[in-house]
Amino acid sequence: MTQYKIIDFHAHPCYDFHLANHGVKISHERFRDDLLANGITAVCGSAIWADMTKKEPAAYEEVCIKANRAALACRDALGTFYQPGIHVHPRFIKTSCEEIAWAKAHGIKLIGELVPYMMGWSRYSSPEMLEILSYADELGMVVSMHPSVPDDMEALAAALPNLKLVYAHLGGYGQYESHLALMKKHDNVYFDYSAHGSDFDGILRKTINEVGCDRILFGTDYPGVNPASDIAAVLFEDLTPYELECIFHRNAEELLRL
Amino acid sequence: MQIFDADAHPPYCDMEVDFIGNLTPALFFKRLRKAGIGRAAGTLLLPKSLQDAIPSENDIRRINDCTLALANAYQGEYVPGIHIHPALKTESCAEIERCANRGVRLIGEIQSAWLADLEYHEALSEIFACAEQFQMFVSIHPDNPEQLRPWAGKFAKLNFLYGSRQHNGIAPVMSVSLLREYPNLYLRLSQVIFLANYYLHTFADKFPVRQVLFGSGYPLCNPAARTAGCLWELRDQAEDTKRMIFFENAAACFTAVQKE
Repeated sequence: MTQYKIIDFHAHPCYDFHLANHGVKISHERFRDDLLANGITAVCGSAIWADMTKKEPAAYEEVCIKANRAALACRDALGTFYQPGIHVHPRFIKTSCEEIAWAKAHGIKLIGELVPYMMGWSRYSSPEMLEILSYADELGMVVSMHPSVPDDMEALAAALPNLKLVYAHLGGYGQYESHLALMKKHDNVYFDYSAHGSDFDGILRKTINEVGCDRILFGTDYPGVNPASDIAAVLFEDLTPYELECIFHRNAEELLRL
Repeated sequence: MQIFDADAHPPYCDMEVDFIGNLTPALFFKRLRKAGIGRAAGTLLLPKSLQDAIPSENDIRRINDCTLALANAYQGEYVPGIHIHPALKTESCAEIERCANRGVRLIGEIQSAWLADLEYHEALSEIFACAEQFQMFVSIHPDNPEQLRPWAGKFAKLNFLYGSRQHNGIAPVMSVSLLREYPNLYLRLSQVIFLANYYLHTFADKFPVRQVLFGSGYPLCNPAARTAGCLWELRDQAEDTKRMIFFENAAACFTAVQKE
């Protein structure tokens, strides 16, 4: 167990994608206890499950609402350990805005992780998403997103320069150079380290040398990914205690005003 | 606990590696030591120019000479694996014999594309027959574990050390029956799927433990992350089981080399 306080910016309650293979159900209690056992004291993210993928487009209005209520139920069960993130969908602008207002009223500050590839859409910079995310900006929300293609990520960051955007999986999908370029160009772009980062020895040192340590957040993508590996990967890098503090918890605390 | 990494690849020469920068053999072993890994087995990581083209006879010999020199420089830390290529059948067999006489017991890296290419099957059969004669381990990367079944059956005395490229969670399920059926198959835990939660935790009870070896994939993966990930997944296993997976199985496989 590390000496550092750790906030996991990227995890998913209700996750059951590997259940058929290993047979282990991730209850809310297991979700909390596994992360606590690894020294993680708070966690953020949206609810996702296998059955929400590959549905007819019209079904996603209901899916988003259901996932958002599931996230709130998880917070009810786990208290301040879990900061929910909600889903929105470009096909349903009115409902998405209503969900953002609902979230705000319930003390939720985070949208996402948005997972368009699971919900039949692709571009964050579409007119529909810009309308939804402009409203999120007005309400002071933070948005966590699975990375899309570089031109789309760039267009969103430029269109809404005051909205804090946290793209997931720094360096994932062979896109490190475009991720770094995006951070250099846009102060409102953050990245979380979850899942793919832990495969690359040296990625944090290199990124911090280029853009500083204030916009990198620790994340695991638990329960999909084993939380111990991500923590060990961060500790293995040649970072100062201050840089470790920023990544492990300070940046998330500042972003979500925790 | 001592850790023996059955999937690590020192650089062929000082070379630029993503995020690490200039990776020298000294830095390679220093990083492994920092991750708690005291011994490592594997073939050399080759520069892109040697990865992408079919090597010449001279290339293969030069790479393997470098491997032997590194093993000499890092005795007790590095268990060498030599490169072969099915396009150089005769030369590969000659290299197996030459290097076996100098204590080498590992050849690699057999690619899934080679296994899928019927034109390479005759050459691979000859190379595997030669390797079998010298009691070698073959490092192999199938698309899925089932791709190994015909080879494991045909060369029952040849040991195959494999890590599947498949990430979707079916690979561990396939491995249970394959490992039980073929005692000459050995599973490396360097596959990405074993960083997914609850796979190794669940399947450690189903795999024949003697045939499971820890591997990091360094420098293509983070060795500390892989070590911590496997330890977390094996948290409910007996200490004896962890010792076997992290050290004793690999030590037993490569005993001949350790005595050199």
